[in-house]
Amino acid sequence: MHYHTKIILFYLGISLLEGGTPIEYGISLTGGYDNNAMRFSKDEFNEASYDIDLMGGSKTFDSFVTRWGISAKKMLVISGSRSIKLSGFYASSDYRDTPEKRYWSGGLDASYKWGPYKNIKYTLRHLDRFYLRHYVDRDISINALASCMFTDRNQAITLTHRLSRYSWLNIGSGYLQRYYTRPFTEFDLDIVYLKGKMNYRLKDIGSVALQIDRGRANNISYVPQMRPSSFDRSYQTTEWFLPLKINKKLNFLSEIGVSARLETRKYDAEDPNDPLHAGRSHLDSKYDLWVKKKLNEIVSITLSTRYRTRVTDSEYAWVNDLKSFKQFQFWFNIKWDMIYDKY
Amino acid sequence: MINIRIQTILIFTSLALLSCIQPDKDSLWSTIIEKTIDTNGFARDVHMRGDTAFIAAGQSGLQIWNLGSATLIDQYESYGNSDLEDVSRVYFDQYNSLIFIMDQSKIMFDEYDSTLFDLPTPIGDSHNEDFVVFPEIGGTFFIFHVDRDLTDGFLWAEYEYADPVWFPSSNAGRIISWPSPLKGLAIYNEYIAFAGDQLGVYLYTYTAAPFSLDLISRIDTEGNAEKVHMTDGGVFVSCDDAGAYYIPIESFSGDGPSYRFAEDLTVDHIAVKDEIASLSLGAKGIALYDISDPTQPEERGIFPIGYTYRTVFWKDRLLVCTREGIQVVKIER
Repeated sequence: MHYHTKIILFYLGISLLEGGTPIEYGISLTGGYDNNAMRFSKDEFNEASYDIDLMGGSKTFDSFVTRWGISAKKMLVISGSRSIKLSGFYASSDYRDTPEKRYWSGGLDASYKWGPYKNIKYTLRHLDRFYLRHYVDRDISINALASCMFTDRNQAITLTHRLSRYSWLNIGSGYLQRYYTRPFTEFDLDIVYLKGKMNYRLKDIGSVALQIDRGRANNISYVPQMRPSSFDRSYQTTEWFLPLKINKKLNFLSEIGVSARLETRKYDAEDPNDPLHAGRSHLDSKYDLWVKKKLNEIVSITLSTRYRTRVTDSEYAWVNDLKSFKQFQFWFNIKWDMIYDKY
Repeated sequence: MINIRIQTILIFTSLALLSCIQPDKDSLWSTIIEKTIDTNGFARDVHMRGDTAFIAAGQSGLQIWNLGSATLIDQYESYGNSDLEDVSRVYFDQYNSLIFIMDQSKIMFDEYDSTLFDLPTPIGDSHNEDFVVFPEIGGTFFIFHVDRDLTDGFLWAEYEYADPVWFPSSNAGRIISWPSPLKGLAIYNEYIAFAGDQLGVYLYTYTAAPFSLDLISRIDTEGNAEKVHMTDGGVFVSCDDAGAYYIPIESFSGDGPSYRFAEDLTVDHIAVKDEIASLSLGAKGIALYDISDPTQPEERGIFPIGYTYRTVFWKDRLLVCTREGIQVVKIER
């Protein structure tokens, strides 16, 4: 289905909902810059300088990015403190200097609330044909490169419960399907994870939280028969997420935030014929900083930046060099929040 | 207490189940090595007759195995008073009970009995590249062979049996007017195809008695044409450093296209059966292609089975001649 049709159907669906409450709409535009759009390691930068095919259709390692998105929210009041909240978003991203990196993402949330900080939420996220870079698929070729893309479908159920006046807890479980396009289907993963998040409200400051996700990625397309790619890429993952938001008593800005997200991944593989994965682990760290300014009741702007680094640990030095990289991203976002009330 | 209605949980669970996605279907095939016949020397070629495998085992000479029970029946490392030198081809003529082998010095044949290779009949010289035998009932056979010497080229001979020896008839000869060495040949119905190294592929028609050739045309290929395989519709060509080709027979008569595939592979040999093409890749093992439509071969996987010289289809299995011996491989499509 074409994405314009999806958007129309999405808004039509939200608009048709009854409930006596308004619909909140949002439109956002984002401009950004990614200094390492294909996540090349230092060695790969050198390699690509004499083998331009590694870069697919790109002429540069970095890229400017444009993204636009829409969102909508609708609350259906059942009785008293009980309500159902529905929300969704759609975004389209275009890496101007990386032609293969054009994708859409979207999501739907449905939550049932029976009191303050007491709710259960179903979350659906979709990332469509996200381009990584060009790789050689050893199953079918010795050196011919092919575009490597994957699609994510992530679903989670989260239960929120209040613990005290200043704290509340989210616990939940999720199921992420990460499926690659041909010819890289041997990398397909089903990831099941548990997550827990402790949230604290900081009086006159904002909020802080600590989240831990722990998951198991199962390489569902692994077949033990003879193939160059007959290697099990299953792994264990643990992610720590620590966000701090300051949104009280700020003079000029509406919000300042910092966060750190640290993911450790340990592959199951111990096959010496698979040096790329055998005994490999990595620490993927993402550090974000953002500032937000509400210009008026409708328009807000956000400036954000991310520094990402992945440090790989393997018995083989060349694997460490190959799979480690650094990345900087800068984003400028402007968003219009509107309300439509047909009553 | 947390108050969650069962209906709410059921709704969310249903949403989750309905929202799953399906992965792209994998179009690759798998291979399972069911058995390995350890030949000591490099297995360079195999010819099957029932369950009996005649194996050209390189420095280990000629070996005869029962493949069903994986038992060695006979082994021959010498002929007369000389050692065999890296046996690379073998053929068994079931009508005349003759075994043909090619080693580094010559092609030779002898009757398959207790005196095998005591006094074999030699054919050709030390630069043979390929041969094809057409046996006939009643004590005759044709042998066609190519030689990389430009002064030899393509040679043929009809042999007849007059007790107690085989001797060539007058229907024999050679064509030496080749601008490049000949590396392989294949015969199918009235056609003969030659792999002409740097100059590509030649396709001829022939008549048997007396033997004569009529050139249809030559088609150039990327890389050096190493071996050829003929089917009903055309010629498969394996090329050094340039993959493989399927060239329809009608393309030799006009300006029809050639269909190149496996372009980034070095292909030493091609075997074809039942819409499967098996490409021998040397150190990279084998590559399988679906040739349901030979003009659009579809890759089905590269399989690192070991250093592979040649493959042969046998029943519903693939026999892979490798440095580790003969691998009996099941292909799962």
